[in-house]
Amino acid sequence: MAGPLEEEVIRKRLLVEGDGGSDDRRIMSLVKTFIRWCGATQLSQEEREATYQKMLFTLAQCEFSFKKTEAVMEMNKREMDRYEQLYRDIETSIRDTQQRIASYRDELKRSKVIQRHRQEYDALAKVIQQHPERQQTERRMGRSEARLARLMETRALLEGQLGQRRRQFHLLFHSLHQLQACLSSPGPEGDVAMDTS
Amino acid sequence: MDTAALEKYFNIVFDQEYSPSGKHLATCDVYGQITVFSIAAALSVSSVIDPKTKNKALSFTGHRGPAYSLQTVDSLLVSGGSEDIRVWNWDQLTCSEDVEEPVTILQPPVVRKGNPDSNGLAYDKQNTTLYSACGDGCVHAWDLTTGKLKASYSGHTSYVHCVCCKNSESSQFISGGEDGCVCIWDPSTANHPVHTLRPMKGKGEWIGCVAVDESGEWMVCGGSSAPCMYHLGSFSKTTTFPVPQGMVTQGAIFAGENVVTVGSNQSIHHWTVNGSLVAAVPSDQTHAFSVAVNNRSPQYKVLTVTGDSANVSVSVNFGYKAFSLTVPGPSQRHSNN
Repeated sequence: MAGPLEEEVIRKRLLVEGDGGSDDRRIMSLVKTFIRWCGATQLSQEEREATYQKMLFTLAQCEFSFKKTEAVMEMNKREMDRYEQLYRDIETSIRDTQQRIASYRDELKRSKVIQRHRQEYDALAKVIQQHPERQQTERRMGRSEARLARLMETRALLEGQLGQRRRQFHLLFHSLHQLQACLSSPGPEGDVAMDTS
Repeated sequence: MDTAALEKYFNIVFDQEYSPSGKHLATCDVYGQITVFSIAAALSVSSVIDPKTKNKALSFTGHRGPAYSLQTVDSLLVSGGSEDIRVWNWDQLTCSEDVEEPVTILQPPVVRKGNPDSNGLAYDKQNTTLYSACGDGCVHAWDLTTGKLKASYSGHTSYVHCVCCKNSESSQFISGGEDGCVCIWDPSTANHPVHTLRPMKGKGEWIGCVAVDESGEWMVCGGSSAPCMYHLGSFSKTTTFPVPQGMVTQGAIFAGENVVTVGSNQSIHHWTVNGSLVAAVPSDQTHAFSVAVNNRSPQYKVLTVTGDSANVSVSVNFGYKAFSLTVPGPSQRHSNN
């Protein structure tokens, strides 16, 4: 419970004392010397001059000290401003990088799909390569069709010839039967003019 | 032998799933336990001060046998086990101290061959259908509002390991199985898939995981041979990821622009879509079974890997592992209660 209070007290004392308290002491001694100097009537002219110079010197020292502190404060303020600027810059660059990461991730997904498609294409292409070309197959088909047509023609021809032979044999047998009938039937009626058409 | 001590070293965490808010992670393991961790707590500042808060988890026995897969459906968590599929409520899992009863139990139909275990789960939001990849060679479609089996899609000749939905616009789904086929199904035709892909040549090859990217055009599938990428529009295989010889891939996802695969060589591989390796990050697990990225919450976006260890590795930057969460063994849990 006493802890935080103590801390506050210590902090306040440090702030007040600043550079270790020498400023305070200097001001106190200056004030004392001034009062002594005002009230000193029995000192000689040189001693009074000397004390006056000493007081001016002490005054200058005090001025110097507080100017130094002012400069340090200014420096600290500028440092802080710089750091804030740096912080903002880093934040923007983080956001940019995150956006870029997201876009790259999308691109990666698309590229993976494209790669997969290319591989599938490659696999199918290998299979297709194994089959002969379309033109070659078409030529072979044309040749086979021509052969087929020729063979059909030959067959028609042969069938025609076969039909004719069949008819000729039919005629021959008909004539033979007629001759047989002629020869087997006796008598003058048998001498009928043979049908020799 | 002291089983409790052994259990610390032996656990296989098959699958993991994030809560709808993205703040919690649920894992299911070979003991049938479901453990819920809080990612938000693990990533918070208090977990740096007190590391024990990281591992604070709610753990309960969800299934009698092992639990193979998890899927978050709106506010529910669906877990697929070796006998049935159980549905839990996320609020129950995150708020209460212990969980006794599931909200519903879905029973796969009795089968002639194979086991009714649900190896993989996927949810189609548009049709509110849950698809389960079943050990009997079929993909079952469940209607979660009624709890009934809607349809069974049979086309695989052996058990189905994994299923995933194409994307939010299409109602098609894709399944991968032990027979090495990746089948693309349309919900309307139950007898045969719309398209069958055979990414691996040779006998005995199997598919362990399928994943489709967000656009629905690209699919990555992995299994006994190197994982590969398909362009679904043309059903053409575009790339094969060059993993080390003999490595088995059990988990694959699309994470952003890369593909992440995990498997049997103790590392997490990051690939570009055209096949070049971006990173190979060492992981805790010798054989990893699943990898997931928390896309539900941009704040807690982590990559987690689970596998044949009681630890779940969590990475915040996908380039390296940040920390591990430990799944408690069953006897450890009972001794703590």
